[in-house]
Amino acid sequence: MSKIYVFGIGGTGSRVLRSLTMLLAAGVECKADTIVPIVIDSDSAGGDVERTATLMRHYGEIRRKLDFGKHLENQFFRTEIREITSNYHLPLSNVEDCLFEDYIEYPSMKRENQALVNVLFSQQNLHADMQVGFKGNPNIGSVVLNQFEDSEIFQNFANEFTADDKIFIISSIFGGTGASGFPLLLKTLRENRDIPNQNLVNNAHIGAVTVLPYFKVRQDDSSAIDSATFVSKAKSALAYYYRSISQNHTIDNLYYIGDDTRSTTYKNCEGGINQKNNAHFVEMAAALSIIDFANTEKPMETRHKEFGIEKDVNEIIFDILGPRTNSQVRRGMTQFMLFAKYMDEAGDYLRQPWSKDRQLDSTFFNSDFIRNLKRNILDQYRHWLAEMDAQDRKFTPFTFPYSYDRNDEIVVERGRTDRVFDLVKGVKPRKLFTTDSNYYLFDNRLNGTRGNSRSGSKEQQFMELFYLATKRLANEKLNIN
Amino acid sequence: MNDFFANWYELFGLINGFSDDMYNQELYVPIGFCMVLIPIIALTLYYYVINSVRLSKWWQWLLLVVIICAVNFAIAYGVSYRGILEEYLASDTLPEYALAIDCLTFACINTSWCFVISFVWSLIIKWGSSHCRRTPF
Repeated sequence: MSKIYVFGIGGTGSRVLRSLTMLLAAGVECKADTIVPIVIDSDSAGGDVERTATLMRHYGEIRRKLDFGKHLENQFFRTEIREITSNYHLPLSNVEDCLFEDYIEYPSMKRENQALVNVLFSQQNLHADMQVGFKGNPNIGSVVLNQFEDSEIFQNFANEFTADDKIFIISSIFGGTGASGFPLLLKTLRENRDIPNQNLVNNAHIGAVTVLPYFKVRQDDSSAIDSATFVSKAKSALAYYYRSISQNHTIDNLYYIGDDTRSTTYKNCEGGINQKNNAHFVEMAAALSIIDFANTEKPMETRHKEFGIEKDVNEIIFDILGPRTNSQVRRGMTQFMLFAKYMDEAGDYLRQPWSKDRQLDSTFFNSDFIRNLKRNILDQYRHWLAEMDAQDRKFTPFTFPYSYDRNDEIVVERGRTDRVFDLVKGVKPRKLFTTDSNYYLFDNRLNGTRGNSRSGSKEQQFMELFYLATKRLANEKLNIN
Repeated sequence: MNDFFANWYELFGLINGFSDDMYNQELYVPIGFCMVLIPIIALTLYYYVINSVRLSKWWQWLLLVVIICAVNFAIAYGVSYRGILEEYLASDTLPEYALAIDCLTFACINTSWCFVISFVWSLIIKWGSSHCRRTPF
């Protein structure tokens, strides 16, 4: 049982974990059996952090009802996402309701020490409230994050670490928490001698993705975050990473991703529950680096990788992805989209042979399992896709309707039931020799699917059935293998 | 075959005079064959050749059975009326019973049997159909 401990640092860490969860739910193949996310963010109530933790918890609830024996084909939810800390979060102590100057005990310092601190930190830094993160100030983060090696959860992680396990770190380079947390965490993992399994952890296969600027925030003089500094911060951090990480081969695999040519501009939000950015293709690409990392062996020296697409276009569809990425994600994402659409748009499935044969009655379709699956995973999956579709650089592989409500929030709408398979952009649905079309054809394939979908719990049968039927439909109708 | 079908049609009693004429002219045979074969063929096509999710609702099955029954009703009425009338006209006489009414009664009996056969045949063969195995229920 191989595990990858994924440390998601800061808001970007959580958003990348959200994308990873969506990809794993869709059955994108990951060589690791288990992903163990550990979110490091002082802004524990942040919108991005909370949304990702909720999603991963729902993922776990669904997965617990499923079986993944060798005789079964279902890939949806195959990779386990294990919760080893409450809310997947590594808590930082003394940051709640605390100004940075209080954290470092600035008022009680000697005058000479205060003078030194004043050289290193601005007055704005010293008066920063750390409950909502480090607001783009890595110099604050590099002080506060020094504590996580002492936390009980970090000790537990080290205690459970085995020789087959790997470590991956997600961070952005242009903010505060991620930019400062990544080198600190890496240093702790490589050099800390006071942790259990010290030898295993110090010599572990460690990878990381460093997310370069890919969005901007609106100019707000009252906010500590200014996106005009993103590039200069990224440059400084890159130079530091080069000296302290790449040159001495502290890291095994380092991935770079970014997009500052067509950046979306978000509302300027320093943190808290309102910091909930829409999903972005860059985050999905960063999530794919974890899947790529799972496939790699520990190299002799640091390997750097960048992510690219076939053409520099505003609208990214499957064919614009590189051939490897395309084959990695296209089928799973399409199958999961078909699944999500069916569960939302098709009706009348209670009287279908596929449901009656398996005694999937109204009690089953009203169960917590189905409600959780529909509301918290499948609906969220389409919402996640719509968010990426709404960016300036769109990831828009599917045709499906969505609109905006009064609060400018995305609302996914029901699609046309007479054009169910006009779904994947750039793919013309094939005509099949059958009297059934659209959701009738979907039911047709569900009825005609057997495989191992007639054994196990009802939840197991249901998931296996939909995996097999959507796989067949993607192949027959959309030529996606 | 004439005796076989006569037993079916006369199971619940004879229609004075009319039943004798039907039996003597062996009119039960073609009508009986239609009564058995039309639902068997039509429903086999429905369950195994058309075999469509789109047409698998209970009321769609019922509509098909009603059409089968209507066709059989028409065949029973038409064949019996014409067959008996032609026989009488050849001998220049008229039947001593109300031919049209008796033919209607007979067509109703035939339709009832047709419905029974349709229903029983559906129950027998539906399980092998991939998309209609839960039709009509």
